[in-house]
Amino acid sequence: MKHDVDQCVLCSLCNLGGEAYQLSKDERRAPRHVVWNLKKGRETPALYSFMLNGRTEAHCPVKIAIDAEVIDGRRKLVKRGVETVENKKMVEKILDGKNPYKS
Amino acid sequence: MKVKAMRRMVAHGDYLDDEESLRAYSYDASGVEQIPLVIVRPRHVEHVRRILVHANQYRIPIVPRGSGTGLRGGAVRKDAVIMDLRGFDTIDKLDTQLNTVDVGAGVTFKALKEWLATHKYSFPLEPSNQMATIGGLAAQNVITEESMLFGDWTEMVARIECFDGLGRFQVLKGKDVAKVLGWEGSTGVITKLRLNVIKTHKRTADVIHVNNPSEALAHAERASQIQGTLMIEYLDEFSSKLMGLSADQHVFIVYANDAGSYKDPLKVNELVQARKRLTHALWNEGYLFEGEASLEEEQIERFVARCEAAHVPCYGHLGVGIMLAGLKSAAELEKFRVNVVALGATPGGKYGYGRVKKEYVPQALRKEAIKLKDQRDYNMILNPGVYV
Ligand SMILES: Cc1cc2nc3c(=O)[nH]c(=O)nc-3n(C[C@H](O)[C@H](O)[C@H](O)COP(=O)(O)OP(=O)(O)OC[C@H]3O[C@@H](n4cnc5c(N)ncnc54)[C@H](O)[C@@H]3O)c2cc1C
Ligand code: SF4
Repeated sequence: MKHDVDQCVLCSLCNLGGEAYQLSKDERRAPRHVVWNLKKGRETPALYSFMLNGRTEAHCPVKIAIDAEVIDGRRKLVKRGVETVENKKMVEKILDGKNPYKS
Repeated sequence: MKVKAMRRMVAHGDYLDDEESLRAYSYDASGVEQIPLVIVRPRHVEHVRRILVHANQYRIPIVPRGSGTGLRGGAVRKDAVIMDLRGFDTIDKLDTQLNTVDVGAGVTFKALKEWLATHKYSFPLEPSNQMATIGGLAAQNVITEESMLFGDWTEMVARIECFDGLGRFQVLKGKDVAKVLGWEGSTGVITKLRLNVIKTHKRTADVIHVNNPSEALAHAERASQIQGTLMIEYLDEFSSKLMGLSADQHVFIVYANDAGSYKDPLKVNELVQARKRLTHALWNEGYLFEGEASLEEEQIERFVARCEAAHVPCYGHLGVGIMLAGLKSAAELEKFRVNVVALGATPGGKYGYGRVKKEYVPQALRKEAIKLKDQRDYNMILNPGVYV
């Protein structure tokens, strides 16, 4: 059974699966920090650079559904109007009936 | 302004004062939360020296930090500068004559383990959290299952390079390493360590079914007489089940020789790793809090009986007198601590004291800490609030 972010014990084992974090050692990009923010109800734009490849989740001993929580967080950001420029452009193109991938 | 001057003392991009960085360094695995002043990430000993000298001049508290996996809030402090030491991340010089390796304080246990394995070596005190840095583990003088045979970090570290609280660079060897190891960053900032390593050796194991803790203690007594016994672990019914054994009480013994009946290295490794992951398995069952107790042999039976009566899963290192319990809430943890004190034991010992368990620091340790602070950090710059 998967758990939600409230169950996070801050152990940092998910950081083992965070490639960007491993390379940069940037704590803002640490999967643990992303989960900590979600736990606090703080959806930050950092959610957009989170890799949804299941690797962080695979390391989590508490089995937190990290990827699903990140997707949910992104949804909330979009609702609040916080989205990347690229995302905004893509959506506008879709609404205009244009190819979202063509620049 | 006084803190801002530190920007010039580290490399470009290694002085962090943006809101998200401050948040990211405001907690560790203990759950304690305090927003620091700024973060500095030195990558060279000269960076560390400059910062400490400046901090002394203006009495700015400095908190050394590794991966922030500590369970006692030792790497968190408000109104302090957090010094992230993960920039000291090189592993070099494996000396195959002396069996030592030189390693930067910021190297993670995982990286060291993998590097040593390629050279057919290992460092035997293996924590269950492999993200922890070597500097952090040494600063906490971490006890692991293997401490029974190999002792603690003061016995496995031959030499350290460090700074005292006044910003003086020092090389400490032999017994002197204990002036910094175990003091949770309150008596020195470690930048490099020389570790005693061992050639990868044979391990065998026994898994013995027992009916009660006194039988477990009898087996532990016998195993401790055998030379080369690496770890002796007690497992209650629930912990046994989580480790993949039958739902009975067990003693799990690992030997650094041929003494055990399980001889297949893969099976032995599987059992050892299952033991190391027991806390994780308990988390997954909702036991999110871990209680710990340092016990005398005669207290262990009563401890297990109390856990049993309270339906609390318990397990632990019979070999080194540390028992652990899985708990479901902060309230249960508090009750557990009260019970441990009522038993005449100490509710700590494994993960350090940090800020969370400061009140449980034994008097003798506190006195020693004060003496060391007088010698090494009389301006109280280093991690104030931990120990003293
Ligand atoms: C899942 C999990 C399993 C764990 N398993 C174990 C275990 O088996 N055994 C065990 O004992 N602990 C265990 N711990 C606790 C933790 O991993 C250890 O306490 C470890 O030592 C912390 O290392 P760190 O690099 O994260 O240090 P941090 O948490 O960053 O810091 C810990 C302390 O060390 C000091 N410090 C850090 N680096 C330095 C340095 N270079 N110089 C001077 N002081 C420094 C800090 O000021 C702080 O007081 C576990 C924790 C978790 C979450
Ligand atoms: S591994 Fe799981 S429990 Fe641990 S910090 Fe990451 S999300 Fe939280």
